[in-house]
Amino acid sequence: MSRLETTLDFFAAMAIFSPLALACFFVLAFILHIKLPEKFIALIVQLSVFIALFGIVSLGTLFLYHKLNKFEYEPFPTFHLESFHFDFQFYFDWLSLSFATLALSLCFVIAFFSQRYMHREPGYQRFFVLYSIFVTGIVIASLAGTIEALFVGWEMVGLSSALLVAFYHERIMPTRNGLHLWIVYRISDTALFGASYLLHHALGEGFFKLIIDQGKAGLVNEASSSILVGAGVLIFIAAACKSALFPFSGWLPRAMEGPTPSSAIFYGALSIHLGAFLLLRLNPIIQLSPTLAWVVVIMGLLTTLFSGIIANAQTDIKSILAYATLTQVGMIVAEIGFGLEILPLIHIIGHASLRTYQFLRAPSSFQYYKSLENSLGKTDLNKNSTTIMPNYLSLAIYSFALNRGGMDDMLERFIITPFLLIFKLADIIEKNWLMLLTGPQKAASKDGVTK
Amino acid sequence: MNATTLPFLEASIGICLIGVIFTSLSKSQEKIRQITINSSFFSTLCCLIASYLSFSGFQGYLQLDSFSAPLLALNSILTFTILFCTPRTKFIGALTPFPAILVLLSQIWVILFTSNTNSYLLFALLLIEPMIPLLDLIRRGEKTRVFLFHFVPYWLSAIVLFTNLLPFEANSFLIILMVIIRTGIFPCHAWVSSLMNQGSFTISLLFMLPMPSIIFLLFNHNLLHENHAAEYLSWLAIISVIYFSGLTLVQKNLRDFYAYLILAFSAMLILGICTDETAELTAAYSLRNALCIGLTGIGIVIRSLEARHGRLSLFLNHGFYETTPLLGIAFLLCGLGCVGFPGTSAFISFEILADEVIPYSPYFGMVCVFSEALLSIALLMVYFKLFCGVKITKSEIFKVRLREAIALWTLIFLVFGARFLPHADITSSHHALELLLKKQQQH
Repeated sequence: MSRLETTLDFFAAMAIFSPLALACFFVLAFILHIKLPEKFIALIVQLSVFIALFGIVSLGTLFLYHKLNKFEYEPFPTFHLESFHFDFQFYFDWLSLSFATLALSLCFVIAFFSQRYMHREPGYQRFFVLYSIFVTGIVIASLAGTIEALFVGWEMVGLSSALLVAFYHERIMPTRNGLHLWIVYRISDTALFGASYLLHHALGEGFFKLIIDQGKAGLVNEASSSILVGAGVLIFIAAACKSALFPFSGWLPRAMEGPTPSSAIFYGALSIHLGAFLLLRLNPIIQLSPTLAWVVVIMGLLTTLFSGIIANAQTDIKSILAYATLTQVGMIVAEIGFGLEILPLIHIIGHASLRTYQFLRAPSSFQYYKSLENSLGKTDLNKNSTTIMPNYLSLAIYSFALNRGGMDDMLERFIITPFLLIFKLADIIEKNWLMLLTGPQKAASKDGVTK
Repeated sequence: MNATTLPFLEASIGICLIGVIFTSLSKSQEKIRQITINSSFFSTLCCLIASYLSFSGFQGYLQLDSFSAPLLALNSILTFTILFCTPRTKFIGALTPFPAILVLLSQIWVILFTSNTNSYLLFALLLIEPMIPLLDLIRRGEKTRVFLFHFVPYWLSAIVLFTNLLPFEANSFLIILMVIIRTGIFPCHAWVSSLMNQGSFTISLLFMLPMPSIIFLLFNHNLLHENHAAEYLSWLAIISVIYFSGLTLVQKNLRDFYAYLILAFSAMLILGICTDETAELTAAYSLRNALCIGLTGIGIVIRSLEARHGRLSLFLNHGFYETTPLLGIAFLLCGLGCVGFPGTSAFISFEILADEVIPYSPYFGMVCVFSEALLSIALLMVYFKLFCGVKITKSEIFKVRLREAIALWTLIFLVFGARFLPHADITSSHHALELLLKKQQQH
């Protein structure tokens, strides 16, 4: 192994294992009920994220200096069991390095912000446990060189996000919203698993690297395009759930129940762009079918249109920002659908940074507007706005926007309720069958459950 | 004679038997508690030594091989863990006395079952086992109709098998029928929720969690491939997986939820066993071990909560995190361990299972993945219902006791720490299964 490779391995290990060690330490302390002081928690979080960021930036510098295009890092040997392979590898190229740098930079900023924002919060330590799992997940997902690694990161991001939405768990709404998010993320996981199965059986072992390395040209001769298009559809569903694209947008405003730092970093900046990143990473598969590429473009633009309308009728700052975020994410997805590579990446970086700033300013937005009004000498900044539409139409659109397009209602009415109804009926049959076998007296005694 | 040649396995059974005798003679509940826990502890210790020594090549009269040694170690740890953290209130001051004798008999049964490789003996042990929950139901004065409705055909099938009344081809079907009843595969599952609700929860855990029919099928895998038995069983298993996973989402009684959770995972394991690939069998076996740990953890949490608050419904949120955060963490982590979250022992096993089932039948594989998603949703939903949603006042009375904490930490360690990189475990299981299957082919 050359000296350069050893150096690259060292920095790659810094980037990956620093947040992983932090997560392990925090989870262990949490399980063992070791109460850590706030200052200590903040210090090791900042230190750990800084080490990871330093590793990534150093890798980027080495890439520039040595004019490298890619680098593979394999911390664990491949696990083989007959025809099954489990590769846990990482792949560094400009795309993964850019996204990981963005992710770690924003996490670093949030670590400082959270130290003060969460000060004396009863769940201070719990917040940082989930934060560390999220950072580990996003780093693994962005640097993944195999589908297995991507899946690990993807699931870690999903779990930590759901639990952060339900952070204020003594209230009922955050837990309901956390569960809603978890359901959407599980659909995403299932779709990603389905896609990985199809690609694995179509392209064989190491398909992820094949797609990254060879792109669309390398795929055409490899397998029947219908399987790849099927995989592409599943990848798009996985990304749509993760990035809250139409019609899965309902979870995004619900996710704002969590603390502001988590809303900023996860739903404003990173989680929401992870789906777009996946599409960007596996874009060659999307581009194999022009129809699928057009579907991606249309769904992206639909998301932009709907969320743009809905954002205008929201009554709280975080929901406005959530839908404003979606308008840009929709555009990023449309750009990916057009087959662009550099522009969506720049768009992601710029947009994520801006939204992080806006979300962090959200709690002090009243103060901001007050100072703005004082500077301008006006008390109502929207006073001069005019409506060009007829009244009935603007009312209809306003009502549509206020109900957030009714997307949640539709999903609940047409998918969730019928699905649960089947099992509720089955449960009634089960209970009756049991009552028939037991006899009425015993079935009645079962109702002694405390409510 | 040195220490390594001592018959530790036989000693572990002897210790439990002595415990049974002393327990039946003792009148004080505190003494019964001490005798039960101590004999279980020393018996488990002997089992662990026997397992360790079997790897070093030393054997007593009962033989352990590379397959049964880790199985014995894990099962005895789990049995002891369940008993060790049993709340004191279950022994002292309880309306129905704790079934200490039955618990120790269960431990003896587990040791005998996991340390045996003889198919006939395993079969005989499978026949005896349902007597333990049946005796428990009788002892508690509960009706046994549901249990007998399922287990009388189970015993009748065994009698028919022994008497050779039916042609040879029908025998594999009778054995499959017994497996279906014992595992609780659809439509023979009603006894599970009935037992969970009416029997002692500890006895129900000890009866359900070793999943002996899975081990029996691994030992007699050739039976499955006679007369398309595997095909029929896998279809029933796939229906069961999806049906029970869906039912976990709509349960309003915590014990019913737990019963369907066990049933869904057991059916998933049966599905894995129905293929003839060694990798698939390895995945099912490793997943069975991981599920036993995770489900034991969830079971202990449920029992601890019920010991504090009585039977719990899932109609309303309870907010127990405030008073017992460790129970909440353990419930969540053990649940994640069951659904194969990255970093847990079930992760790779589940990946192999789904990946290898798919070529066998793509629909089966996708149903496995879909069911796993449903189960993970149900688990988080129940976590939120039990531990979140309302603010309750902290109280020292509800604090987690040291024994419970030790038991739960051990299980969390087994779910995560012990198998963070489970390659070695899966490879050794694969090797042991290859040897086992080779032995079956020779016979």
